Amino acid sequence: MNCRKVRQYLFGYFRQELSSEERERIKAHLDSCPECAREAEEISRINFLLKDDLETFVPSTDFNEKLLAKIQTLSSNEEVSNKRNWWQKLLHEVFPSVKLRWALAGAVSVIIVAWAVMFSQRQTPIRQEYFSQDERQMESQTQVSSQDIADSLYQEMLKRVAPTSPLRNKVFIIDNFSFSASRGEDGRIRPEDIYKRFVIERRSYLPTGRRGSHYVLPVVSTQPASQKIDY
Amino acid sequence: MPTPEHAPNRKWQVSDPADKELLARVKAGDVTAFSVLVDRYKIRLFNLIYRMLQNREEAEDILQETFLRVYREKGSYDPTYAFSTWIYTIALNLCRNELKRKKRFKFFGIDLVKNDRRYAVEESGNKNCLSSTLEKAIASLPDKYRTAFLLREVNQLSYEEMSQCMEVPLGTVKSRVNRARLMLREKLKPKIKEQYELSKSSPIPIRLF
Repeated sequence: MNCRKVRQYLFGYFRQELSSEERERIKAHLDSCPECAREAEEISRINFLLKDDLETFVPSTDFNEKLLAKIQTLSSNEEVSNKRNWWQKLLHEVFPSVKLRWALAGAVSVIIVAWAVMFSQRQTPIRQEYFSQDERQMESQTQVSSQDIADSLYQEMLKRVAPTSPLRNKVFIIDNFSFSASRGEDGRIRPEDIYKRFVIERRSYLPTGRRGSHYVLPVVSTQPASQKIDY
Repeated sequence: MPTPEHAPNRKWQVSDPADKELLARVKAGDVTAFSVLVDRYKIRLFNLIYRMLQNREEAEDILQETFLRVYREKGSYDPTYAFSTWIYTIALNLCRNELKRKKRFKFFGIDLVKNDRRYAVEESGNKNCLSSTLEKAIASLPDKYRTAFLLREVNQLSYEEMSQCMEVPLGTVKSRVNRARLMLREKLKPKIKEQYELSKSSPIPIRLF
């Protein structure tokens, strides 16, 4: 056994962690090697030190009382949890901390609000959505209803789309679009101009699958219909 | 491998079959049985946790949390293992988390441990100074070596028990203990020598260690 190996085992030697055979070999080495013997002595000192000189700390005297008090509140919480019905239990199981439950409540309410906003937008009539108050007033003065606009658009389509085109037989659902209209000298939207400058585009901020909105797309435009309708 | 023989002045019994009976009584709702368990383990766990965290209040909090977990999870205890192993595992995990949390704070520039390293000096003010040197040396060991060292040298667990509650292989436990001992020995070397010289030159025999 060489010195390095012996020194590794010295602690174990003093702590009785070695087999009798290993002990014999180390003892033999220590007898013959003064360096290792000195090392061994130091380690035995540390060993004594560890045995005798480490202080034993004690927790504060009211530790048990505090602990038992805590357990009391814990058990009363358990009683509360027994009174919960199944979904409350599930909620407390999945989200044990109060913070998490608040976060969940927040997230749910945000989702509800967002959904409500989207839903209300969906229900908003086109006029309210795209016209400012001012324009709506002017428009009502010109007595143009969305039915009128739809009719005009349909007439315009008939003019622009070739008689043989299959587009003619489609039903056009006119909603979900924005447009611009020119105004006359007096600032009013003129009924004869109102559809000529329409640019109809698809608005896709709502959930997809709005029925029919894509049919509208190419029908009336400032650009020639032939460029837009791809059949 | 020979079974490790514990030091003769073993302070705390490591594992006791009565623990399981006590726990069974706790399960049945017996609070006194729980206090007996607490009394049986609080000091050895406190010494371990205290030396791990080096802060008295934190150590008491973690100790309390350990017992609370034992109480709360009493149903999930697996009786094939010793109760002591189970409770040590809980305490060590809590310690580890706490140390991690502290390190995280330290990483963000908030030093929670700054003033805590004084504990050895504070608490053993009347002891000879080597004792506090020893505590300091132990405190300066890296966490995992300190854990291994304390479990072995202070709490006097067997290597098998340590391997179970530290959740590392037996060989790793042994090498960690050995490494820790050698590190400690290096740290204490100058102090030991100094004391030794002092005792040689002094005509009055002084208590060395």
